[in-house]
Amino acid sequence: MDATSLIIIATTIALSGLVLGGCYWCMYSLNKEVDPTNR
Amino acid sequence: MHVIPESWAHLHILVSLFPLIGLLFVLGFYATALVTNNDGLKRVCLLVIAGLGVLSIPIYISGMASIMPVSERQGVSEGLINSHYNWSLYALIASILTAVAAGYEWMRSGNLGRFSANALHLVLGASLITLLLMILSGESGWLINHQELGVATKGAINLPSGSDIPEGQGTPQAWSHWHIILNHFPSIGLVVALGFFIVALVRDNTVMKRSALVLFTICGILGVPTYVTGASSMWALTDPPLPYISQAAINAHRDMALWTLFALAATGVAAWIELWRFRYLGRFSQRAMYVVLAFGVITLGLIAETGHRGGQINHPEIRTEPLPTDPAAYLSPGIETAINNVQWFVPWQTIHFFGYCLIFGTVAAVVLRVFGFWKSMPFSAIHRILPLGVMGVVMNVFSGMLMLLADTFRYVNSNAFPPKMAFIVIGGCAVLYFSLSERLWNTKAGEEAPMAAKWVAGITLLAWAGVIMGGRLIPYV
Repeated sequence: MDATSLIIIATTIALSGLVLGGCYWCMYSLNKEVDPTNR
Repeated sequence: MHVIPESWAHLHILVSLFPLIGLLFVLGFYATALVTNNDGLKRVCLLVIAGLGVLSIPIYISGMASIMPVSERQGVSEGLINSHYNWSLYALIASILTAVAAGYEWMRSGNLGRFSANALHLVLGASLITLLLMILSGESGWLINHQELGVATKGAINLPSGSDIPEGQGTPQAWSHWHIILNHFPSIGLVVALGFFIVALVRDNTVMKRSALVLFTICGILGVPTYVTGASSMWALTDPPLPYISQAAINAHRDMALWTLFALAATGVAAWIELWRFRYLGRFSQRAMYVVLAFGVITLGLIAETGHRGGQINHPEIRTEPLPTDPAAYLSPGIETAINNVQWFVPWQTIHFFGYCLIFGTVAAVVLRVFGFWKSMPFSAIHRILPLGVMGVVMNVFSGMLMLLADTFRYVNSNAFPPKMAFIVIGGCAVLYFSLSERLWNTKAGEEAPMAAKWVAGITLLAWAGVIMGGRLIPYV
């Protein structure tokens, strides 16, 4: 596997992790407030 | 920002569409006031409708003073100016009469402490007639300066030598036409939303707050087709090139348009989240309301500058300084090059697919409950997952716009692209329905959802399915 492929894989994993992690955090924060069972 | 007019023609461009687009949005507030019987909102709407009528005076004066500088421009026909003058005169008269009726009812209701139903309906009817006349006036107005709208076929057939577009395949000028219309909606909508929002905060009117938050969200949704039609217009105006269009001026405009798009999305999402939270908490968070206000003000600043730069592209009569000349001096061409590289295209495309999964999964769950599945759950339980779908929309607005920048020409000239964009707007507005409908929210465990909700659910499912299918078909049709 060449360096370019490794960079594409690393960027894809990093960006996906960042965005999905952000979504998880948003959903957690919102639901914690409106649903007592989430706390 | 360049919000202070520097000539009569500039003033005319700045204010002439406020009564049309402004009235459209104010009528939304007015209809809400009538349906919810909210007296405070009714009075504010009457006052604003009267105020929009007063704008007829500067519009008429600036329009008359603009005739001379505009008619000096090559290719501007006297017939078009006359047609615009005639329709505008009818529209202005209707606007003033509507304003008088609204102003009179505002004063009368203030004195008596109650409204006349007949007067309220008269204002509504007169406003709708005014709106129709203003649409005709607006359409005849932008035909005057936007000569490119009339050269669509000619541009495609008489290709200049060196163009790489196959004969008959120039980007249609219909994109420019749509952009000229659409760009006024988020900009004027934002002014109206901010105005009502500030009054609502001062007077602590919950219905008005919710209505203003809805309008912020609608402006956020409309940012997408506005940006997309703008990106498409660039190709329609520059490939094959039109002699009076500067690529550098377009780049200056679209740099700011990209920031505006993201700011509109942020404001829309912040407003929508507050609407969502209100369902559970029964009140608004004061801090969140000020966050929405701050986002709205910042977005308005960005959109004002974007509009100014956009106006410079095709309105030589308002230019007071030389246009930029270096097309490479702006960010957008660099973003295009970067995103066109597979190293960035693939990660953003991955985010785009994650976004689709979130949107379609959320839509499927909501729609199936509305259709009658999982009736043991109240709708409020399903309502809780709506933010997942909205996060998907946000992810796809960011990633989709960046992917569009990678190869705008190919995307906008695909037959699958216009329906995809239309479905996004329909699908986005449908999400608002699921967030706002009182009857749906009150659907308890074991109960059927209202029939109207089932129709909206069907449309929503088809719209988002259409968005995904349109996206996949783009490279092939």
